[in-house]
Amino acid sequence: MNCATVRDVLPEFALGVAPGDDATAVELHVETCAACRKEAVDLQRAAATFGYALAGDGAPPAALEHDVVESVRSVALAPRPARSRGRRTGFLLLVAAVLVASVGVGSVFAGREERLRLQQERTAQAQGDALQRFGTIPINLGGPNTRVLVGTLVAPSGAGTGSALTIVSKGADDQMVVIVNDLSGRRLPLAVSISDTKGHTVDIGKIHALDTAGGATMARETPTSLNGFVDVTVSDARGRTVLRGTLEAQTAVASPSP
Amino acid sequence: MQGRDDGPLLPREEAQLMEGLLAGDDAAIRALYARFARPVYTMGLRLLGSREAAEELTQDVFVTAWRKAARFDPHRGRLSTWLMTIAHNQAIDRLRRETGVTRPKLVLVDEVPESSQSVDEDLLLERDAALRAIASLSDAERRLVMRTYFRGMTAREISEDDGIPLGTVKTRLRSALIKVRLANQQKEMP
Repeated sequence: MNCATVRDVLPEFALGVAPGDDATAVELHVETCAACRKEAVDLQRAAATFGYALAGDGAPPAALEHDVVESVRSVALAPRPARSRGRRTGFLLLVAAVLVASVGVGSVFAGREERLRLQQERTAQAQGDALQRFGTIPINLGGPNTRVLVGTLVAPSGAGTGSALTIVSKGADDQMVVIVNDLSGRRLPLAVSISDTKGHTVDIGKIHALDTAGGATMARETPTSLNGFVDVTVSDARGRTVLRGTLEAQTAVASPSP
Repeated sequence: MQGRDDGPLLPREEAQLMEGLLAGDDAAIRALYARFARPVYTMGLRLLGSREAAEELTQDVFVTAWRKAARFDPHRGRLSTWLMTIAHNQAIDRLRRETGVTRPKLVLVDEVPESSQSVDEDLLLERDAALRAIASLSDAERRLVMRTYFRGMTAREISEDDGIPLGTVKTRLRSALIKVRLANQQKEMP
């Protein structure tokens, strides 16, 4: 969207009734365009005024405060998943390191370098999240003759980033790990599939929930060989592609150290 | 700071409250609730039409605020605007999902003025701004805002319902919002 198109949508956006795709495009645009951002903030502020125009009917019930406090605390203080220890964790961290090193901190979010402070913060946070998630993914090591393919996933339009990895092994089920970020608002579930160069496609699985950053991690084993499958697609519930990317082979992964 | 419950918050105070919310700090959550639960609940009650729905909306808004807390930037806009936008978007999403449900008649503050007793100063200021906003609009603009902001109709739906060009509807919406903005800017000027 250019500035003129965004300005056309802004009143509806401020009033909360812009169609979904338009709203997403506006949100993306205003993160990099100070003039449109100012206009959006001003119009949103004006629109929010109407929220106070509704005549009240007294205070909320007293018990609601307790419910709200407990609801927020339950999500804010939820225990993080315990990390497994030992050889598997070592391997997983190695996989994470391979992934991050191969795609690079900046290129994980390819095409978005121009984004301002907010995006940089998100990138840093997502990167940390990705490492943490890889530490908790239950991947089973396929054996010494393992090939790892990794790549970034980018959004054809709208927000969203991701990365994916396949572990192709002889004598064991192949595995795939997909990390997505910044997909809040996409219609769930998200379907992950991977295709080879001949057009054959393997459905890997579905992502049914996103976390606070619109992210999720999915790890799957598949009896279908993923050898030669490199084109990854993540689609929303309406079948629209929200992320896609191509994997590239990496150096074989050695056995993990304890 | 978290105990202060009167007067508009400074950006620094808003940021502190949001940090507290993000950390699940009991006092910060209660401070936010004390300031914003009432207008959020009222929005749920008036737009969705039942106390149960209003309570659900209020809970959802505060949990969503926690989920999005890291994205809040007090230098880009006020916390009250941000929270009410979340509340409004969630209410409208629900309105648009639940088609065919009879909704209550909207009652605005200029029709049934609410007692100012037990309402904090910040809320009174916001309500004054709302009254100025409504007063700044023509009847036609007011109806337009009612159908979009309060009923969730898109510009295209209004265009089709009324048989007028989409561009005209959008222009009128922009004009209405600019009037509201000007009305409140003039009030804020010394």
